[in-house]
Amino acid sequence: MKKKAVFLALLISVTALCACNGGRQEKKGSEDTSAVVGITQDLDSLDPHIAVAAGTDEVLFNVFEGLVKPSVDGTLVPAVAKDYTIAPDGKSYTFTLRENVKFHNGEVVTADDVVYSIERCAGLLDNQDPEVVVESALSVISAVEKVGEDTVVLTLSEPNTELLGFLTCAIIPKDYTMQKSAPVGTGPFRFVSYTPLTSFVMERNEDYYGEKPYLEKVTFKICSGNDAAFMELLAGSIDVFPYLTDEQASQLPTDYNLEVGATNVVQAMFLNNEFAPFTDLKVRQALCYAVDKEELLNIVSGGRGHIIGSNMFPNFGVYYDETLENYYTYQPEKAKELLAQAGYDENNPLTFTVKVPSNYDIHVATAQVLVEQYKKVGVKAEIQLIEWAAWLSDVYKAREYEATIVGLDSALAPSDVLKRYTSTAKNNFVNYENTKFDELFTKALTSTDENEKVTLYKNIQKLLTEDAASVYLQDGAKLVAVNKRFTNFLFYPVYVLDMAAIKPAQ
Amino acid sequence: MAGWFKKDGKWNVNRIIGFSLVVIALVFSLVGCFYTPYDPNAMHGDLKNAEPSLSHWFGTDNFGRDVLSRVMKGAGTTFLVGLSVVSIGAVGGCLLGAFTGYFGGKADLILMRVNDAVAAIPSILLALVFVGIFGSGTLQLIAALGILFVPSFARVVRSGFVVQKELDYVKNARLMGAGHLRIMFVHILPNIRSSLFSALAIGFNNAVLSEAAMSYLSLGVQPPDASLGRMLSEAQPYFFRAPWNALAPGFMILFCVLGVGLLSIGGGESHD
Repeated sequence: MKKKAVFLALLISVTALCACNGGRQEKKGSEDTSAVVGITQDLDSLDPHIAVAAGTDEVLFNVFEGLVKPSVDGTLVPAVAKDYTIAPDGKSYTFTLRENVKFHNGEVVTADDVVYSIERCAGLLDNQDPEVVVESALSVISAVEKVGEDTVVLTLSEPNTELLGFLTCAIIPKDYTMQKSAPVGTGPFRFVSYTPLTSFVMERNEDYYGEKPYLEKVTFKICSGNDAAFMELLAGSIDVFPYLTDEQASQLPTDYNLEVGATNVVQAMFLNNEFAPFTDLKVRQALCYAVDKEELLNIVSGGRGHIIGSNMFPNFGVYYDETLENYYTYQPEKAKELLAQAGYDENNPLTFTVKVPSNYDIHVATAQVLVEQYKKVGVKAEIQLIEWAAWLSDVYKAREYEATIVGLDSALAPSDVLKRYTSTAKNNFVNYENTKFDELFTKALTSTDENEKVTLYKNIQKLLTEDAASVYLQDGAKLVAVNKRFTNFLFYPVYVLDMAAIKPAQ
Repeated sequence: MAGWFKKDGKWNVNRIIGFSLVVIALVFSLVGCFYTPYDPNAMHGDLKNAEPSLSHWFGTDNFGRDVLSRVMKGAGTTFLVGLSVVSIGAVGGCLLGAFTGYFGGKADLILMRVNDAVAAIPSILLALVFVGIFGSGTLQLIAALGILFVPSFARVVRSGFVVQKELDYVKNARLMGAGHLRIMFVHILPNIRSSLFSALAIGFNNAVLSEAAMSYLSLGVQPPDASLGRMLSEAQPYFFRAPWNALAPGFMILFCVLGVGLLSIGGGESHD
């Protein structure tokens, strides 16, 4: 009986696997203008001012727009605003609104809505929703004023020439209270429905002022993990999947194209600088020297990623300091020596736990490789897999961790990617503290001279590397599977999925 | 020894096959405790998903780790979890079942309803809740599954006690002045051993499968440590490209579960 049952089970599983493979040819046909995108992380909020996860931003990018929005080449292009001028002293910004931009609920965007949205983002409202994550870069804004029907002026308390990169923050209707359940924005797609842990559906915004998207309906299918998503792709139920692993890319079915870009994410093993062994610079440096990044890339991303040496990635162009990539080369002997100086040896090994969000295969794989590499220099690292929600609350918000592996994205401003290391930053979850860093950062932020700015930002990156604030690993390769029915999948220097650009393949 | 494999002069096929499968699984895991051909966690970037060969009998996985070594190590972990879980379940279940079955009354009624309530919830779901509260890891997994396995043993033992306590030998023992504890554990318990053994075999199989399931959901054994379920989970994306990654741990689970199952069937026949 038992035997029969086992064989039956085997038979069923084999049939199921075959069925997965065979189902691919069916469906399609009339559904040409709808696409299903596989994502592996649930949205943390539908309110763009509350959401913090990069995985949420990349979805909401399609629904919301700011005064300006990022473009493919990394510049900022006008969106809700038609035009803007920055005062020469860097202390005020004037925006002229585009005429007749409509929210998804049919109302026209007014200067009041813009004032409200920016004040909400900057935490200037009198009845501020405590859940709104105030964008600290916007805290320099001292006043947002409506001047005439279509002009808004931002007055800053101190000069800042980089604020534009943060004015991509979503413009939402004034005093609209349903943002969390039925979000309303101005983007090329309008929200249809959201089922937690299942899907986020949006449809074409027929009132869009710009070029209307080709796709009529886009469903973001939330899969429980990378493997599950790939299985769905093999079964043909996902058209676009942006998080292929190297291995999956090599198994891609023939009706999908492989698109390769950069993830624009700083992947690192972030160290809690306040956790006892990591307060010692030598320990942190040892951890940097002990990592063979070449081998790591070889194993986890087929050698396709880009090694980084600080908290910045190559798409930042002039601001990016590529010399830091080779600052910590693989030197296990030196790592051991530094550890010995810090008081750790075979009898008293350095031990720590690295918390890894279990839904990101790349981080889990990276963790496994690092644990092995650290073993070679006598460091005992233990992996603890945690849920994404737990990562956000325990690691990112409460900072209760020793080390963690994750990727950080950034807005289109060098200050955004580096600001989290200033000692007072709310998102300084690595607990990094260096007064010299704070000084340089303030100087760079307020500098109106572009050359000086570049030099300052390079110095700041270098400071992070010298202090070994964390173990910076790579800007991974983004491998995207796109069904051959579609083309024109665009890679941005920020972490977004632009579904409006998708065109049919002819 | 040969007699053990025979029944009424005929070969007991169930017992022979079951015994061989269990021996294979045991040899793998026991040897794995002391010796593996390679370090089960050592990685080789240029040997990813290599086919089975003379140097790597079961091939390598997506990190270039030797699958044979990982199966040996992983089987040990999985069986250890299985044994621990069954032990916790059996000891807890015996105590609970013996007291409720022997004494009866209101305590019996209440405890058994609690028992039913626990048994009514799918075990994986309860284990998920447990792991969610106490965190994931091998020890937590053993504790969670161990507690969940108590009800099934408790019920088997209780029903045995309810029947046995009415029999004459118990009354005799009582008249001779034996204490309750002595009667329960020295007189009655040995008499329900055959149903207890079957429960143990089934329980062990379920525990192995539960461990595999939990680790498959990345809630049990944490990477990079190997366990059969974790290996299956990691092998899933490579099933068509490198099937040995999934087949090796899969067959290991099959051998073990099928072997113990057949042994208990073979054993049951001879007891009847």
